[in-house]
Amino acid sequence: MKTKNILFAIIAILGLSLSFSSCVKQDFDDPPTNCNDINITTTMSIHELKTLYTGDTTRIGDSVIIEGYVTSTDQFGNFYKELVIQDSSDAICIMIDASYMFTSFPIGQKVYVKCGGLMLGNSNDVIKLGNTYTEYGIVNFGRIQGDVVIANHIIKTCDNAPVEPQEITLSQIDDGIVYKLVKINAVQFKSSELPTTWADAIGLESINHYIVDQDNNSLIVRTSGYSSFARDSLPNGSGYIIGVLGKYGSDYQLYVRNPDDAVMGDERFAEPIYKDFEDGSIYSDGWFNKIVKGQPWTLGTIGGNYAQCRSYNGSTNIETESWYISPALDLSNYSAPVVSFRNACNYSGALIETKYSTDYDGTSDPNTATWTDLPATLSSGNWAWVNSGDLTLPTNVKHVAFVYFGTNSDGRTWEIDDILIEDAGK
Amino acid sequence: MKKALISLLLVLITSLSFSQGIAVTPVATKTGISGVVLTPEGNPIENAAVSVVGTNNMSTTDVDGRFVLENLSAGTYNIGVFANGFANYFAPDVKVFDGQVTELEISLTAIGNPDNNDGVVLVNADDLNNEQGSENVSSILHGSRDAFLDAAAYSLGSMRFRIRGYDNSLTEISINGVDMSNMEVGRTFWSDWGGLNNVTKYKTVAFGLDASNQSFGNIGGSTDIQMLPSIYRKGLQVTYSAANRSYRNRAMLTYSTGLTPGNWAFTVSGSRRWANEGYAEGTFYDAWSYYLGIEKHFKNQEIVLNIFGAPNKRGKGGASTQEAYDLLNNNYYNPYWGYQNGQKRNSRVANSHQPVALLTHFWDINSSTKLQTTLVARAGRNGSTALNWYSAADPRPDYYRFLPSYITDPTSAQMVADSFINPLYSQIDWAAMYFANNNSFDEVENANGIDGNTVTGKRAQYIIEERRYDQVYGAISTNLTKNISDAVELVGGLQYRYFIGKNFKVVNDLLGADYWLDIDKYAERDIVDPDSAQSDVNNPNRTVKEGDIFGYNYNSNIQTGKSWLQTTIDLKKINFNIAGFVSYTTMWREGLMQNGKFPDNSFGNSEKLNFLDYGGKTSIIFKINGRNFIQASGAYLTQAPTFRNVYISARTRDNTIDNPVSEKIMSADIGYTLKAPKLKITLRGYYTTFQDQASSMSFYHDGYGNFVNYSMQGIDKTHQGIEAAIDGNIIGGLSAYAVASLGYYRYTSRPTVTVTVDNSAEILAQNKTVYMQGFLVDGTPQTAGSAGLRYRTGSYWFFGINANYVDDIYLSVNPERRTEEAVLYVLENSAEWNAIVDQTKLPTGYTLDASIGKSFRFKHKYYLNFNLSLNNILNNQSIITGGYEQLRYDIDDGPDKFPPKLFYMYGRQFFLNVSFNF
Repeated sequence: MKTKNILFAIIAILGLSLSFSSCVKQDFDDPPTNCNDINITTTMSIHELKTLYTGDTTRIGDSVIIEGYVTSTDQFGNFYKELVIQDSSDAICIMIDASYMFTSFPIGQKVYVKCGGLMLGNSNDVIKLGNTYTEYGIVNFGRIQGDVVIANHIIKTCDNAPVEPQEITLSQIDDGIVYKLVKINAVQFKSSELPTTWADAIGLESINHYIVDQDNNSLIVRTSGYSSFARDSLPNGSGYIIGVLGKYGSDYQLYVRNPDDAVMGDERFAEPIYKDFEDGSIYSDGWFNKIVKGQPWTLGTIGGNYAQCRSYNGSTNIETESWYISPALDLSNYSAPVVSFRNACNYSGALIETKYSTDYDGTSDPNTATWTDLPATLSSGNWAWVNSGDLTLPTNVKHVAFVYFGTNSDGRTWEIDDILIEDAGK
Repeated sequence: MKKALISLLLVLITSLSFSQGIAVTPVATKTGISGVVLTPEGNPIENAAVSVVGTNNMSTTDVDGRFVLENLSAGTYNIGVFANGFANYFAPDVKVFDGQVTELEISLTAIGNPDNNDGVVLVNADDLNNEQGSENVSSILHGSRDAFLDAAAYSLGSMRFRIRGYDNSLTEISINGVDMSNMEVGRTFWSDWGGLNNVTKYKTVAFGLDASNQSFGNIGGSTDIQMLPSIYRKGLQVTYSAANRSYRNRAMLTYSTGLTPGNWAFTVSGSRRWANEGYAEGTFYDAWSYYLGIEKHFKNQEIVLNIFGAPNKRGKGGASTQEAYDLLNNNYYNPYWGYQNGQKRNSRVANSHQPVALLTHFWDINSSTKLQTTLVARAGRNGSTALNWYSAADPRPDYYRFLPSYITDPTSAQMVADSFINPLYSQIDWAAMYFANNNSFDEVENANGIDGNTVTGKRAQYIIEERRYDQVYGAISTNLTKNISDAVELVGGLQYRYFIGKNFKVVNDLLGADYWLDIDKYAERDIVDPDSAQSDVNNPNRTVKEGDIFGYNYNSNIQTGKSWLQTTIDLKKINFNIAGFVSYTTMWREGLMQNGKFPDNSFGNSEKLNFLDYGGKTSIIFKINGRNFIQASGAYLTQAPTFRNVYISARTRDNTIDNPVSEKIMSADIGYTLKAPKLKITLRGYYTTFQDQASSMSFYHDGYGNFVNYSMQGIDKTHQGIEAAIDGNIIGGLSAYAVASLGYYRYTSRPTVTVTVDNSAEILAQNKTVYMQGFLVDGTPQTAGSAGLRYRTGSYWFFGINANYVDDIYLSVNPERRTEEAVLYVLENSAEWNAIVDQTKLPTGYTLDASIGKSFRFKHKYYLNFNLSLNNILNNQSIITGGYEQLRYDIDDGPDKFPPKLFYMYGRQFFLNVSFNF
C-alpha cells in the first residue's frame, strides 16, 4: 500500500511539472515594424543621378546612393508599376514590377535607393530608373523585377513626411520639373470636354483631358481607365490641381494620385476660345462656313495651318460671299470680351470683313441677322501677317464672323489664324 | 436432443469464431465459459486476467494459458482479457447455454500493433495537421482481427492508404450505436475524441459488407466504439509518450473503478498532447481531452452516461509547389507561417472544442431480447483561421508571382531564387502587413447603415479571419435484438439524427488596424450597384472588429430518420445474413445575412430538399470446416448527397444544383479465409460502382476572370480489386506476414458541369462536358503491399520490422483542364495536349519501419510497458502521398503557370510510449 502511495505522489508531481512545461505560447500582441530606423549617407542627389545618363541605357555605379520621398501611389490605380520619388533637387520615376506598392511605400515615405547595378534608361523620351531584362535574347530597358531585388535596392526608412507640391503656372512647365509634384492654381477643365468622367471605366481606356488657365495655356491631365475613380465626374468648376508632372514623348501630362488632388469648386473663369487650326480642321470646335455665294473657306497648310478663302477657283474668279462663323458663344461671365486674330493676304480685291451678331440663329442665311462691323487691322498684302488688335465685343454676342468678298473678276486670297476670343478685363 | 444441441453449439461457435477470430472446440460440462489465451504465434499466456465484463467474475490463466469462468447462467456475455505485454482484448456477445461450457480460444495481439491504442499512435493522426483532413485515420483504427485489415492499417496508414479506395464517409462510425459523423460533409473526424485512446479502444468492427449488430453500416463497414466504464481495466493507468510527429509530447491518465459491488462503475480520463513545433516547421499542437463515465447496473438494465471533449488548437502545415520545395531543398516547406518579433506565427490555426454527452440504456428484456438505446447531444465551436486581404498584395509567400519562374529577366530570377531561403521571402511577412494596416487611413461614410455616420481610422488591408463550422447535433438510436431461435437472430433499429451546422466567419486579428470594412472586393469591382458589394444589406458598410461576425452567416439544417432490419441465420455449414434500411433525409439552408448580390434568395429558410434512401445487403459464409471459409456478399444502396455538394455557393445564396438526386452504390465481394492457430490467409476480390455523385467547389477561374462556383453532376466511379494477406508463425516466437492490395479505382462517366459567377449567379457554362472518363481516383495508393517479421521472447520483449511499398498514386484532377475549351487551340495528341489533359501519376515509394517493446510486471499487480516505434527508418523524403492540381488554370499559359500542390510523406519518425498500470 505504501509503495502505491509513493508512486501516486511521484506521478502527481511529475504530472504537475509536465503540465507547467507544456504551455504552448501563442500570443502575438506586439506589432512588429518593418521600416528601418537608419541613416544612410547619400552620395548624390536625384538631379546629379539624372546627369549620369549617357544617351543610351546606362548602368549606374555601385557607389551611387540617393534618397527621396514617395509622391506617387498605385492605390487608386493611376500609377501602374511606377514609384516616383523626389528630393530637394529633383524627382525621378522608378519602374518596378510590383503591385499594391502603396502598402509598403505609402505617400511621403522616405526611402534610400542603392542605385548600384540599376539602369537609367529612356522611356518615351523621359529618363527613368529601372533595370534591364533579357527576352528572346534581346536586352530591353524595363522594370526592376523580383521582390528581393526591389528590397535590395529600395530601403524604406521609418520617416514619413509628404512632399509639399511646388506651385507653378502652366507657362512655367519645362523639362526641369518633370516628375516633380506640382500644384497649379486657377485652372479648370476645358468646357468643350465637360461633362465627362476622369477616364473610360467601361472600355478601360486612358483618356487625356485638358486643363486651361486664364492665359489660355493648357496641359494634359491623363488618367488610366483602370483607376478606381475613372467613372467619377471631372470637376466642372475652377480651382487648383495637384499631381505628378510626367512627360510622354513631347507631351507633358499631369497624373493625379486620387480625385481629391483636384479641388475645383469655384466659379469657372472666362475660358478663351482659341482657334489655331493645328488640329487640321476649320470645322472643329463648332466653327462653320456659310456660303452665300461662290467659294468656300478651306484649310491652308503652307508654313503652318490657317483658314483661307479666295474667289479664284484655279482657272477663273467667281463672285463670292463666304462667311466663316464661330460657334454660338456664351460670354456672359466675361467682363470685357475681345476678339483678335492674325491675318494675311495677297492679290487685289475686296477686304475681309469682321463682324459680330447678337441675334443670328446659327443656321439660316447670315444676311437675315443683324451684324455689326469690327475695325480689325488688316494685312496690306504680300502675305504679311498682322494682328487685328483687340476688338471689343458686347457680352451678349452670339456669333463672330469673318466674311470674304470677291467678284468674278478679282479677289484677294485672305488667310486668318490664331483667332482668340478672350476676356480682356480678367 | 443433446446431439442436436451439440451440433448447434458447434455451428454457433464456429460462426462466432468467424466474426471474432476465435477458433473453438465444444466441451460438455457445467454451465460457463472456459478457454485458452494464446499469443499470436499460438503459444499460451500465463497470468492473463479473464473477466466477465460488468461482473466480478474473473479467472486467471494458468501456465497452459487456460481459464475457467463458472457460475454463469445461460445468456450472452462480454468477456475482457488483460494480459501483460499484450493489448487488452474484448469479446462481446459470447453465448452460454444451460448445461454447456462455451470454450474460447483467444489470440491476443501484441502491443505495437495498432489494433489497440495502448502502444503505438497511428501515424495518420498527423493528417489532422494538414489541409487534406483527418478522415483517413478511421481506416486504421479497426480491431476486427482480419489479417488483411491489421497489416494494412498498421503498415500502410502513413502512406494514406484507404481500404478499397473508400473515403471514411463510406464507413459508419458510431459510439454505443449512435452515428457520430458530421452530417454536413458525411465524414467522421477522429480528432473529435483525440487523446481519449483508453476509452475508445473497444470496438465492434464489421469489415466491408459484413453484418453488424449495431447498424446497417455502409459498404466500407462499420465501427462501433463501446464506451462503457465497466469494461475498462480497473485501476490507474498513466502514460507518457514522446514523438516527433505533429505533437511531441503526450500524457494520459485514466482511472477506472471497474464494476463496484454496488453495481456502479466510474471512469475518468484526461490527456494532454503538445508541441511547440511539430515535425513540419511552423506547426504547433496544443490539445487537451477529458472524459467522465458513470455506469449503473440494475437487475437487467444498465444506464451509462458518458461526457467527453477534446479541445485542441493546432497550427497547420500546407502543401506547396515543387518549385518552392526545390528552392528550399525541403519537401516539408510550410508556407503558412512567418516570423513575428522573432517568434514563429502560423496563419492557419485550427481551434475546436465540441464536447459530447451520451446517455445509453441497455435492457435485457428477456433471455432472448435486448434493447439498446442511446441519446447523444453535442455542441461547440470548430474553426480555422486564414489570412484575408482587401486591396493589397497577396500575402502568401509561395504565390506564383513571387517565385523565380514568374520573372522574365534571368539575372533577377536568379537573385530571387538565391534569396528565397531567407524566411523574409519564403515565409509570411507579418511586419509588412502591420505596416500596410498602419498606413491605411480611410473614411467610411454612412457606416453600419447609419446615415451621416462617418467612421475614420485605420482600415485593415490584411486581417486574420476565423472561419467557423460550429455544430449542434442531437440524435437518438435504438436497436432491438431478438434471438428467434438458437440459429436465428433478428435486429431492428430506429434512428433519428438532427444537425445544425453554423457557418460564419469572425475577425480574429485586425493586425494593428482599427476596423475592417465588410464588403465584397470582387463585387465592388464588377458591378455598379452599391448594394451588391454588401454582405449584409440590412447592415450596410459595416465596420467590423475582432470577434464580429462578417462576410457570411448561414445554418445548414439536416435531419435524417432511418429504420433498419437485419436477419442472421447461423446454420451448420452456412451463415447467412440479410439486412435492409429505409431513410428519409431533409435538408435546407437558413440564411442569416441578406447578401447584396442575391437579396431575394439569401435570407431566411430555403426550400427544403428531401431524399428517400433505401438499401439492402446480404452475405453468405460457407464453412468448409472450422478453419476454412468462403464468403460472398453484395449490397445496393442509395445515399443522399451532402449539403456541401448540393448548395453551389451556400455562403451567398440558396441556389442548388439542378435536380439533386441520391447517389447509387452497388458493391459485391467474394473471398476465402483460412484461420488456423499458426496460419491465417485472406484472399478477397471486390467490385463497387458509384453513380450520380455530385461535387461543388469554388475557386478563381483565370479564363473567366472571376471567382466561380463549379458544380459537377453525374459523376460515376468504379472501384475494383484484390486484397490478399498471409500471416503465419514460423518458429517459436517468430512470425511473418505479408499483405497486398491491387486496386483499380476510376471515373466511368463524363460528368457535366455548370459554372456560375460567384458574385452574380450569371451562368458562364451550363451542362458542359468534362472528359474525365477513365481518369483514376486520387489521394490513395491503388497498389500497396507490406511484409514484415515479428518476434516475441518469453521475457516479454517484442521486436518487429516491416517494409512497405506503394504505387499508382494519382493527383486529383482539375476538371476545367478536361473540357473542350482547355484544348480548343491545341493540336490533338500533341505534347502540349498531353501536358494539359494527362493525369499525373506520382512516383512509387518504399519505406521501412521497426518497433521494439518490453513490458515489466511488479508485485503481480503493477505493469510497466515500454514501446518504441520507428517509421520510415531510411528517411525516404521523396514519397508524394497526395496533392492536387490547382483549380486556377490559365488557358493561354498552360498547366505550368499554376503547377500542382504536393504533399510529401514525413521522413524518419519515432514514437516512444511508456505506460504504467496500477
